[in-house]
Amino acid sequence: MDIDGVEIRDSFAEAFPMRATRILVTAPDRGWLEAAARTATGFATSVIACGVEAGIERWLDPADTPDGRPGVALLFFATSRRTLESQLVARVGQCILTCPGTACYAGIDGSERLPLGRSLRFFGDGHQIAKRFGERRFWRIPVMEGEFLCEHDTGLVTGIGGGNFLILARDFPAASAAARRAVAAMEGLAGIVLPFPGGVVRSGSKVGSRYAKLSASTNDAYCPTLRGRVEHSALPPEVGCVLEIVIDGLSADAIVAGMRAGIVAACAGGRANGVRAIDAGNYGGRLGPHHFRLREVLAA
Amino acid sequence: MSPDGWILRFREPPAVTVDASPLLPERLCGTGEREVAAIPLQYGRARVALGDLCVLSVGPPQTLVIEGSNHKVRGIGRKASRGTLIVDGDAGDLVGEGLCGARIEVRGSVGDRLASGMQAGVIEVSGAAGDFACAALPGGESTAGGIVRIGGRTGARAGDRMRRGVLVCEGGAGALTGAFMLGGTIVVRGDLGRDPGFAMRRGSLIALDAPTEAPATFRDDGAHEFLWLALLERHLRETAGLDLCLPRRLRRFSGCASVGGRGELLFVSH
Repeated sequence: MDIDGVEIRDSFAEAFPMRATRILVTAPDRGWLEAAARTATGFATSVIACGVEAGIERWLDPADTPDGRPGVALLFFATSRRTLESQLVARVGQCILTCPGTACYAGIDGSERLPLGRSLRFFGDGHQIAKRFGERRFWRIPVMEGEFLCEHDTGLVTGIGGGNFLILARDFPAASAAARRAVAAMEGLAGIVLPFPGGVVRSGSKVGSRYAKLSASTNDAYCPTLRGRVEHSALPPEVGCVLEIVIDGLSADAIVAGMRAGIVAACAGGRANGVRAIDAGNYGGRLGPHHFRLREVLAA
Repeated sequence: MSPDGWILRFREPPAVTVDASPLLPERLCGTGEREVAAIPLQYGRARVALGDLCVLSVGPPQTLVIEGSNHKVRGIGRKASRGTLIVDGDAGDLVGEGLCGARIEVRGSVGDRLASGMQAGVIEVSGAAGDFACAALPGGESTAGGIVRIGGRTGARAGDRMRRGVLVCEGGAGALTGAFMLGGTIVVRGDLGRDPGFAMRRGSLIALDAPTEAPATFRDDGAHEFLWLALLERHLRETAGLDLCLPRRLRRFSGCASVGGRGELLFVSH
């Protein structure tokens, strides 16, 4: 299978169940909104070392936010409820509560709940005020700039982490351009985030290491500089650079939609743009229950 | 097949008190004419069948319409949990007492203790309301949810011991509005009587047109922007279809200091 001469390898992305949530953040203007969103989802690329994977799902028009101001939807993924809860409270407390003008609301339903204002209200030192409108409860926490408005809690759902595809290209400029096309095509799609810098990761990993204290190490099969050194290299001679796009999503359908949009965009222009093949990262199918086969994703 | 809604028209305006609390949408909608007509109502000292007091006709689905009522008809919609109840005319005391989910629309004025102990739902009164709207009954439960809008004048002691929910008084409110409040929100457009928020512990009383000075037991926190008012506006619009335009900048007074309360009076900032 190919798209304009770019080979679509018969491979699959192997993904895992994760605990996930969405919050909505609003601010008086795009400047403060972006500051809050980037900070709250910063250092959240991989659960391997960050505890949580997070990103900006989409920017929201004032008409789509609870308080009628510009907003942003943020998604957070972790391997357990406990980790997600502690990360969420820490990030909202340190990055959104602290950011001028912001407010924070639940962004997803669910019978299981994660605390937001339920934990952060104590910052008000007894001066906080609860407001209940229908079934939703909000906290008004006094701060030096006025009040921080924060919903009591948000929903907790089961999501999927680790959807991915690899762009095998002639060189860095070709791989970078293809990856940026893919990210642009995937930005704003509902239910997914790309947690790595700019949505792209260059250091894909494999499970395990020759060093006992490391649980993951470089994916040597896809390192072009190791083509001659490792016996199992997956790279032909014409591939000089590989970039990966990792996708966390609230559902398998959302990840499939994201992968399809990204792969098609990455392949735009065909081989002439320097992209040679699309592959996917997996662990042989033994670790993760979700398998996204590239050819089935594109056929869907 | 039994009608899904009923119109009950009083044959003549009641001359003595009628306890209309058995007339609930969830009870009457879907019930046959014979059973509905046989429902006994307390009429003064007598027990009278509904069919003897009212003419019955089929009404809109999931709706109970009461026509020709006056201030002698009390207890309308008591603890109603679903459906819609429309009163085309005035009503007496205790309309919507303990309401827990239904919608009540009164096209006229109501007596005292409107929405006392209300838990959920929406009540709209186009005319005036008597004293103790949204107040707790003596020894009874506080109003703990729902939305009440009064188009005309609201009497004294509205929101007394109110715990949650929203009361909107469009035509001014009497003395001691929000007295002993424990939570919830009251919005008053028009004049506000003496001693608003007396002994309130929590909750918000918003006065859009009136007083420039707060009682001595409230401390001036200054004028500020309050974002939560946007949520209140949205809640009223989406839940009750009320379009209330609130200024974001209001002057806050905290109290009531007489009880160490942490409630707030929010007045328009001049």
